[in-house]
Amino acid sequence: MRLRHHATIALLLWASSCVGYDHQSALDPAGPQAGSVHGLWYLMLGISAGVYVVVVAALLLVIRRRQAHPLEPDETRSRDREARAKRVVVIAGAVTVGVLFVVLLADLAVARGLTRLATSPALTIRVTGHQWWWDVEYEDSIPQRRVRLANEIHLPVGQPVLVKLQSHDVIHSFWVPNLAGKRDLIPGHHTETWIRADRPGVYRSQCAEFCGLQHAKMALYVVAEPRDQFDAWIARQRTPAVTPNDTLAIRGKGVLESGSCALCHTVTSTLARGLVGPNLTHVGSRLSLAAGTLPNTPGYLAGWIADPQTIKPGAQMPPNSLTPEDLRALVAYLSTLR
Amino acid sequence: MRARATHDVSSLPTEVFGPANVTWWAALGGEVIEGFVLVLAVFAYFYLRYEAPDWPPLHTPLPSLRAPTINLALMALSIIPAWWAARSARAKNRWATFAGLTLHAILGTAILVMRYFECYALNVRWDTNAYGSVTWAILFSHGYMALFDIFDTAGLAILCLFLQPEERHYVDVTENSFFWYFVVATWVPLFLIVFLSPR
Amino acid sequence: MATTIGTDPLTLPPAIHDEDRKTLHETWEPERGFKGWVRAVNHKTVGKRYIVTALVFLLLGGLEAAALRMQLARPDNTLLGPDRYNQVFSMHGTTMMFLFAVPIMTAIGIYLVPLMIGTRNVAYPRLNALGYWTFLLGGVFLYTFFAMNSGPDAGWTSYTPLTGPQFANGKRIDVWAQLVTFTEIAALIAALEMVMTVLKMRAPGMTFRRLPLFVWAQFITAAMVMFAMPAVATGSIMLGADRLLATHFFNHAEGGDALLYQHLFWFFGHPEVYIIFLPALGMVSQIVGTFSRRPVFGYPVMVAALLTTGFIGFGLWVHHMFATSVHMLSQSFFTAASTMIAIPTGVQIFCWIATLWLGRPVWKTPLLFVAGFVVVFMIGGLSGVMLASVPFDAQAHDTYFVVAHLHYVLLGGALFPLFGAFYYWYPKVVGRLMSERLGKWHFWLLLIGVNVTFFPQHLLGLEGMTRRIYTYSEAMGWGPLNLVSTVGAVIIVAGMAMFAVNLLWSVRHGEDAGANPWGADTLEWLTTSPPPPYNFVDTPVVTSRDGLWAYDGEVPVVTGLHTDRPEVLVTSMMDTRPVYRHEMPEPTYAPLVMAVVIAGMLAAGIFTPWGVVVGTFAIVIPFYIWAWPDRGQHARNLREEKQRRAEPEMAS
Repeated sequence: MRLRHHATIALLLWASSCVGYDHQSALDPAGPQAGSVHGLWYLMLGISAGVYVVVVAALLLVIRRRQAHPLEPDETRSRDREARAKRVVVIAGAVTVGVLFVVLLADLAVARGLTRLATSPALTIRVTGHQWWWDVEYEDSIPQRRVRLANEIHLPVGQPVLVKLQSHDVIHSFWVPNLAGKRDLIPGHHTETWIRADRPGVYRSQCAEFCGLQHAKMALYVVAEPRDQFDAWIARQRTPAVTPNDTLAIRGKGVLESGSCALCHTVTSTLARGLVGPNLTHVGSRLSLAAGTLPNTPGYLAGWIADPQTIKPGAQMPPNSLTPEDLRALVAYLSTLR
Repeated sequence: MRARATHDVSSLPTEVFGPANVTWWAALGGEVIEGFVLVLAVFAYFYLRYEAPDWPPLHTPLPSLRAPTINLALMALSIIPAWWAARSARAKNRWATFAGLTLHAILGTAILVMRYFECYALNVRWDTNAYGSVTWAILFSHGYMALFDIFDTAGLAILCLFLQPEERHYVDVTENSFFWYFVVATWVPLFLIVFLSPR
Repeated sequence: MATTIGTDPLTLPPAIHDEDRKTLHETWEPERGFKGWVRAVNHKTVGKRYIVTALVFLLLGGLEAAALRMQLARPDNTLLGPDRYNQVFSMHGTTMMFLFAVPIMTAIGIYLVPLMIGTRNVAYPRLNALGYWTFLLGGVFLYTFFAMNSGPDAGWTSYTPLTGPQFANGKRIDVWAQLVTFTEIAALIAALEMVMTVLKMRAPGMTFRRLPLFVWAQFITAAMVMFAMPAVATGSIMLGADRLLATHFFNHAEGGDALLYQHLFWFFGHPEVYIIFLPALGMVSQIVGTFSRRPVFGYPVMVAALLTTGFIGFGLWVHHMFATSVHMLSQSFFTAASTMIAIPTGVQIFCWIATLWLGRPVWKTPLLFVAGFVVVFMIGGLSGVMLASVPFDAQAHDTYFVVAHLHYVLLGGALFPLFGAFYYWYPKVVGRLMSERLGKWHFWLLLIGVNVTFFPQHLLGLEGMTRRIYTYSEAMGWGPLNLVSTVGAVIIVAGMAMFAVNLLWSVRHGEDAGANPWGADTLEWLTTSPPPPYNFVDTPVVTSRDGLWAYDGEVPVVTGLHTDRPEVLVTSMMDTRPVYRHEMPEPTYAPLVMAVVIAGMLAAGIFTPWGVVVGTFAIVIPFYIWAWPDRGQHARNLREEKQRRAEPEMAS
């Protein structure tokens, strides 16, 4: 299993220059919920395959029997035969009921088991769905310790995390197949789910409720890392934006603050305080751009800023006509924001 | 194969009143469908109410009772001409049927006019909040049903006026009254739910 | 048991006098030309055009599916951009569910049920015609807007608030909501017809205990429609009102709730699939019985299974909402119901297998399709039981796993039986047999194609491929399986092409069928192929559940219906005793005019609410024309009533 998953990652990394992440699959569980469902899946698959084989075999056997031994017209109403048929059908019906009961009990047991697993969370994260990106906020009672980012979640391995879900516009659905089942984000409703990753890795998530034009390109990465690495990460996220010290980056900061970027985006300790789009304070350290659509490299970043509409037509971000030098400077600045 | 005549139905009537007639069943079918629409509207009402902290919502006044009570009385009254028309139809009395239908149509029109006032008696517009939307929806869907019955009633009255009705037209009159009883009967719980239960 | 293979009812001397028979023929003779075409009220005429129209929508829905599969065959494909893709998948679902699947089952019922119960027409022939025209105009309405880049683009389900006034611009969603209104009117009309015709117009002797299983299936389905359709009508009208009249049913900011829409939609949506499935089960029963050359085993259990499926079908809808914030206790209830509904269908399958074992099977194309149904549908049924589990559904919901499931149950459970039904009943409708050879090609290509297309999608779903995405990146690794799936779609197209060719070729070149080419037992096989406009010269009297197989050379018939006017016999509900004779209407323009007014009202209604107001009053005109008696008929009826009053009354 692990060899296969490593090999898959290697293959995927080779195949494209995209983010390296664990194979996005409900069949490769990395947490207790997905693990529990994985077990249930195999049980149900086994039972289903068995039932299917038995019934189809019965059908085929009956066909063959009647081809090999056809009956006479008066034999089709034989009381004896009908009594035998009745016995078989009754038994088959009873077995069906029994099997379905077993399946039902397994279903209910797993469902209950999952609710039992929820204990006190180590972290609480609020995820707000937007058309077509994920706003992520790490809650904390102390305001200065709160972290705001987009399209990425980090969590410590082995610790339960409560995820509060809400929607800014339409219904979305938060789903990390390797970790847990999905939960819808419904405007006007506050729902929550919780996740726990039991092994380190990068798990990809994708919006799972049709939300409009770019529903297909609304992904999120969940990075599970050992506790010390997570602590280091979140400490860095809590710092304000890096102050640039080379001319290009300083020019880039100027472009950010004086141009249209500041109307929608926030970079703390700059003049950019917009709340419409994702928080960009530490954008340089993210795995991807545009909600998992592009790898986070200067080239892709420049392309995205210049014209998001060719990559994600319909996205809320308009094209930006910057001079090539301004664009280079801006990209340089944003890349320093780790 | 040979055919052998075993039943001769040539002496059977060509019209009958009541549940033996397919037309009665059409009216019943319509009642089941429309009735279920009203059940769904009521479901929506209680669903939204269950979720709401206040009902009516804050700053929305309670509905007033004057117009609804008048209309309820008018509806109860309207059963009389509907019943009279049906009875006269069974007796195949053209002019008594005509009178009953005409009275029914007039009262029905008055009820529909009052329905307009009932909507405003809700003291909230349909576009103010969900409470307004769902209460207007209940009044409107019931009213729409009633409107079609009045169309039918008026049509039958016109027919009685200009033509000697056939047996099947008399049957239609009885079915029309059957549907009207349904319209009135469904209004009673709706009245209680919309106008009285928020109090 | 008497067999009646190849009996030609024309050899049976009519019980009525030749002169009368000629009059009967003239009375029921359809009008000629365009006038006859638009004024028709005969259930077979309406039924045939309903079937053909539904097949056209199957073709359109299939083309849409082909486009989707072409786009998804490769990662990052640019055949369809996001906006076009969203419209195409929405049109595919809407067309297949509202304009094909339900209408075709309805249409076949409209054609066959009066024949199977021994009567001459449906209970309300003009209403029946109105239902067809409304359906047709609804489809035309939808496709006209689609052609103008204004087709629905939020799926066949149109969830709020994505479809609400704030997020869905233009008329696309209004078009969707109104299409629902059109098809809901047509479906409710057909349901009314089915229930009332079966309740009141069965031939004497056809008690409920002797009703053919196909008629039971259609009857129960029609009852379901009467309760399911109002829910989607209510939901779609409320959606339209939120968009056009600024109501707040689904606007949480003013006390509304997006989940209310989902409840209303799925309260319809789940029974909807059983509305499609149950008639197919009825078709399977008829085919299995005929081609086993014995009655289906376990008739009472089969009827109970249909009833149970129909009932329980209304208690499952929340399983479409397991990912929302529905309470856990209710989730458990819906899991249980969704699991247990497999029992009645399972039992039916066992009874069919038993019937084959007890009988003398003949492996013609209809029975092949029944075998295909078992093999394909079961996969869908089993994946359905998996989806009933909340934790598993939490992983599989809104992924290609569900797409695989729903196509297996719809194609396996409805389309395979439907094709079997075509091969079975085409000879009755057209008078010629379809080609067995082409039929076998059709069957095998479809069987292979369906599995190649949809089996990989189970895995795609579990690998994280969500539904309703216009593209995916190469890195996801979904490319190979998607390509396989598209290849399967091509195979399906090839199979469907065989079917289309067979349908058209057999009209001219098919073998002559005669009245009962299969030696079947139900009443439609007693009359000629195609049936005369009046269905039966004399209404047969039913003596046994075994139908034609029980007539030992002699058919008891009913005489005494008028031959100079279209008339049917109405019988009592429980013991089918003749009660009265009901006059049927002559052909008329009224249903078409009414349908046009309704269509105008609904089309205008998406632009202004005054459209509905004006339309409501405009409907009165065709309504009154419809009801106003024809002068000649009126005079004749009054004269006869006067005569009857003069004679002593006979007890009925």
